[in-house]
Amino acid sequence: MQSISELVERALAQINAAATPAALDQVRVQYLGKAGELTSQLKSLGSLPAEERKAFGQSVNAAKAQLEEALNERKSVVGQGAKPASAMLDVTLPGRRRLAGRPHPMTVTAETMKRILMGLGFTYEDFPDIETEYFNFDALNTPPWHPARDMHDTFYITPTDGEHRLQTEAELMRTHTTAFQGRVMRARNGQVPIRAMTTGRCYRKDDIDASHFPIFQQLDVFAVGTNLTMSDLRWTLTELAKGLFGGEAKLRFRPSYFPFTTPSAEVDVSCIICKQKGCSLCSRTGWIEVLGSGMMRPEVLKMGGLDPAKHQGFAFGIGVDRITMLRHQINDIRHLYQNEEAFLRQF
Amino acid sequence: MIVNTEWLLDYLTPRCALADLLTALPRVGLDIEAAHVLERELAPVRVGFIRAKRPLAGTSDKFVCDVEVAKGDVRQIVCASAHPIEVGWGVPVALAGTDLPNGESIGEASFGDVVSKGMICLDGELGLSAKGTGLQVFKDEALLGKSITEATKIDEALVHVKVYPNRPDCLGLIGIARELAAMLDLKLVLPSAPAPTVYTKDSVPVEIQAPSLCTRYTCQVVGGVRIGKSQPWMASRLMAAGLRPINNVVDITNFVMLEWGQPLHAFDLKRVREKIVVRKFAAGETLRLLDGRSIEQKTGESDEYAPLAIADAHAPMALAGIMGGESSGISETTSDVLLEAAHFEPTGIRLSGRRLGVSSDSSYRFERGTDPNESLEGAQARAIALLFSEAGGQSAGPLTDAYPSPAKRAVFALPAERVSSYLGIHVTREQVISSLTKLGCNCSDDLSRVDVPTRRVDVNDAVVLIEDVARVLGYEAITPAASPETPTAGGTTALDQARQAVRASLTGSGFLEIRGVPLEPVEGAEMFSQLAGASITLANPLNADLSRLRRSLVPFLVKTAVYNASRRAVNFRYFEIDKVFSRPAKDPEERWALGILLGGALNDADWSTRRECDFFDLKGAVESALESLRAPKATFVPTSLDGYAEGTAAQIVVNGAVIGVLGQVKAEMLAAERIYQPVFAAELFIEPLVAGSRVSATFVALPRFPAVFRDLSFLANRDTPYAALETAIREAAGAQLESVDCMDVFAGKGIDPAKRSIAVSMVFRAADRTLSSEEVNATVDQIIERLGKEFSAELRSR
Ligand SMILES: [Zn+2]
Repeated sequence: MQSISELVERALAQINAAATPAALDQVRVQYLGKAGELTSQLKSLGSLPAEERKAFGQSVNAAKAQLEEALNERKSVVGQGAKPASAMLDVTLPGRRRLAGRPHPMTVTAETMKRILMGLGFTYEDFPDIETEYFNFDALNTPPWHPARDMHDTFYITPTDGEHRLQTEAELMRTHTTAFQGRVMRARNGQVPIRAMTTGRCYRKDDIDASHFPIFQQLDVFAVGTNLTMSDLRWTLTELAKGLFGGEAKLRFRPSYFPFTTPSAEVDVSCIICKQKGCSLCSRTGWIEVLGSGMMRPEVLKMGGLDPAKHQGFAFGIGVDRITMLRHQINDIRHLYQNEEAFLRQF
Repeated sequence: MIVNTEWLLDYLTPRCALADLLTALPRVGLDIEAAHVLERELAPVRVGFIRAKRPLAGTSDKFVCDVEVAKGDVRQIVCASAHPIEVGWGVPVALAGTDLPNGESIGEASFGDVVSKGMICLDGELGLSAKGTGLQVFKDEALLGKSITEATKIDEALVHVKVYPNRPDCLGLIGIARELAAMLDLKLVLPSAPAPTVYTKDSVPVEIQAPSLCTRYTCQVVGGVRIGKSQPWMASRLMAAGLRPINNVVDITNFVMLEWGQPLHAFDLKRVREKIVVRKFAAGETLRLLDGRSIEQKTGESDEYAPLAIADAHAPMALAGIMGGESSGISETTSDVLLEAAHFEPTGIRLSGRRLGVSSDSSYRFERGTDPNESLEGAQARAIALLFSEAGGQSAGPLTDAYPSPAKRAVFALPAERVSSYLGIHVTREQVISSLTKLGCNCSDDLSRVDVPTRRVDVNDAVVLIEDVARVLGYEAITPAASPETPTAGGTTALDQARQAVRASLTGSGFLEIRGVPLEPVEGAEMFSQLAGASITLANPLNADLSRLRRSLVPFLVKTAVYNASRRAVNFRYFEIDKVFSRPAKDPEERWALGILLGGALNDADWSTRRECDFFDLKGAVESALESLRAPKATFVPTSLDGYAEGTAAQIVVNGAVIGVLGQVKAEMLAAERIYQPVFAAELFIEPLVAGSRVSATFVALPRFPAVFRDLSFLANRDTPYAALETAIREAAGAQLESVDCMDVFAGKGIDPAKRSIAVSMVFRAADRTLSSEEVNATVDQIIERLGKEFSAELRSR
């Protein structure tokens, strides 16, 4: 005769192996049905000596309870999907939802740059869109009548009635975020090191076309210390480029001119699209112009309350619109301000 | 400035390859806007053979030519050029539709009833420096229809260079060549200027009455010139540079200006009475300029702003440094020339040019700064020599040179260590000396003295010389190196963090961030604005639509909805974070705002329970955004504001201060734009929320005793605000009430039309014990009593 425990063990194995409710039902009949193996054990009860009957009966009942529980448990697993056809769940119907929201691609570009630069020790702050002539030009070594003022076609604010302001206090829309340099240095009151950055809208009287918009966004950065060099500038820009364009990005420095830096360098990044094999984005040169940079002019440091004999610094400014267009190969700047949903959802 | 490379190479030896030249140019630090390699860009110009020519009716110097431009393809082209042409010649032809490298587009041109289908191009018009007569002539009929780049070897380029304001010394080819010589290790060749062989006594005395505006004035007489056309080599070079040849004398002044960067002026000697006086225009004096315009120094106007004149003993003859006068200029009858080479103070030229609205190639150079020494002298001598060789000059008078206080070379100390510590690379003394010497500086061995040529008006500090060294060494020598300075921790402001939190909240609830235009039209009502104070407008806007700084973010959000609705995207969920502007007091105020717009279906994908957004969906988005800032709970107070439909707007109040408004956008406004669904908008100011929000949360002990839940349903007057009911419930319940939530609001069938049924779900809990049912029931009784007394609310169920 089989022992009860062996029988239970075998039954449990079969229960666990049953993959469908029908198979499970078969196992139930096999063991617990009228003629089931466990049920028939009870039939042999009468043949046992009276003193063993009670214990045997108890063990059979315990085994029965154990198998029933196992069957129910298993049933809850294999039972799903076995509902009648009328209540069947069509899992392929679309989920009820809102499409995901997204930040504007320019925000993503600016935040990416900010994050990288914060990692390099720069501190972010906002500055006004409406600037004074002094911070936008004079404090950046661009006095009135300096020919470099021609490079920026400036929007001026209509003066308020009866208000007479000094020329340097005249209000204008900042033509570059570089205007923040003087404000930061003044607030720091001669203290170094300074590692500062800002981003925001800039305004120039440009006619609108595929690559010009009278309003654009810049991100400006500068650092002043006792010993900062052009090679630090290059290192900082290399780290930034790697974070923005990937580890393989290479930089090229070209001499250039800004009234507030000397030496000045225009910076090109190796074309991310063609890997420098030549494509239309880079005009087949393998390089793309991305930003302007340089060592801060002694005049700028001096006007900021620092001592050019002791302090050296570097600065750079990046067009956020341009970098965004590059990162996503957007061919028309107007897309950035049209906010067509089909555009916004691409990024 | 347009630079023909062949012309540029005249000043360099040994000759360098075009490709090397083009590679080296960017190292100079000029803005290379475009480099047109002519071998490539002249490909559309082909060889056409002149089969017939007849004079154009009514003219003596224009011809109508039949030009065969491809086998059997004969086009009619009018030839108006000064160069003679003959039947049977093969010539370069640009057919209508061709773009030339100098930027000119050739189109069909009408001469009376004759239509010209293209242009026969001179060398200069093609951007080439002429090697022969100024027109390429082909005799080999096999070249018919071939591109001229196949017919002849072209090894030149036209480079469009923008010279930055700091380097006016590069506004002449010699300046650029000098830089290239340093970069490429070539030798600079200055143009030959043999001294005149025949002298006369003719000279004109010079009197500088305004020495602060005119540093140096030289003039010299050249007698016996014959006015005529320039030689092809000169004319084509001028044309390639974008200048129109006028006559040999004027062309010489222009040519030498392009060569040396020093503007020159030629007077007709017979118009100069007695002497040259450099002085300001006197009150009442007028002058008719070469371009036909007249200028006048009005009586009563301050002498301070009077422009500088080159006058003779009696009257102004020229607007100094800017433009000559009409009557004293070179004409066909000129035989003796007085050549001026001068140096003017840049600011004076710039101010006068600006005030009078007159500018020229001369003023462009003078206002940036010219060299009163070598360049002035070199240009002067070169022009005199050319007046002999190119304009038939017979004799020269002695040079008059008024130079009261000669400009000296600036001197700086520039130890190699300073260069190294500025650039961050090791630079040797030899490298510094060699680099600066190549650029014309004189260096002492220990670099304690570096003197700089006066043409370098930009060198006002030793750092500029450091840049020069870097340019000659090549910027690639500056390798990246991490700073040895102790790093500082980076970070950002609470405001910036708040913007990011709000942005994450809204994008997380399915809103798209947009980017608006901060300028808007002045016309039209100020919709949606919550700002006090005057609007801020631009004094010189681009156009009327972009002339005022916006006072609210909502109008552009509405515009965005309209734009997208026209593209069939009608589930609007947009937000923008940007500044709004006004002038509440003397100074302008810029406030950071969050604008939100919502409309259309609640879900984008929904095949079962589709429903439209309403006010409370927007209110929920606003509350979530506030919650993301950990701002204290906001209350909402009915209000009205232009742009929102009456009875739909509410002020958002946090800590007792109004921080924003939300509501439904006026339907009329949307219907005009063909949007017929309800649209909701909100605008919040971010700064007050930053100030009022918790910086970091303090832990509150978690509840240890069980809560008791009670629901309550009652009828209240329809016009009783829910917030009032909730406040009463909280007050009546006291500290044991942990939370109360509105579960259901129902009005309509089976309910008195003046009433509505409100159901709330409440949670009670004590911090120190388990509340008994009896205790809670007693509290609920108090609540019911209070609601009844205060609002005549009737209990429906509890
Ligand atoms: Zn490429």
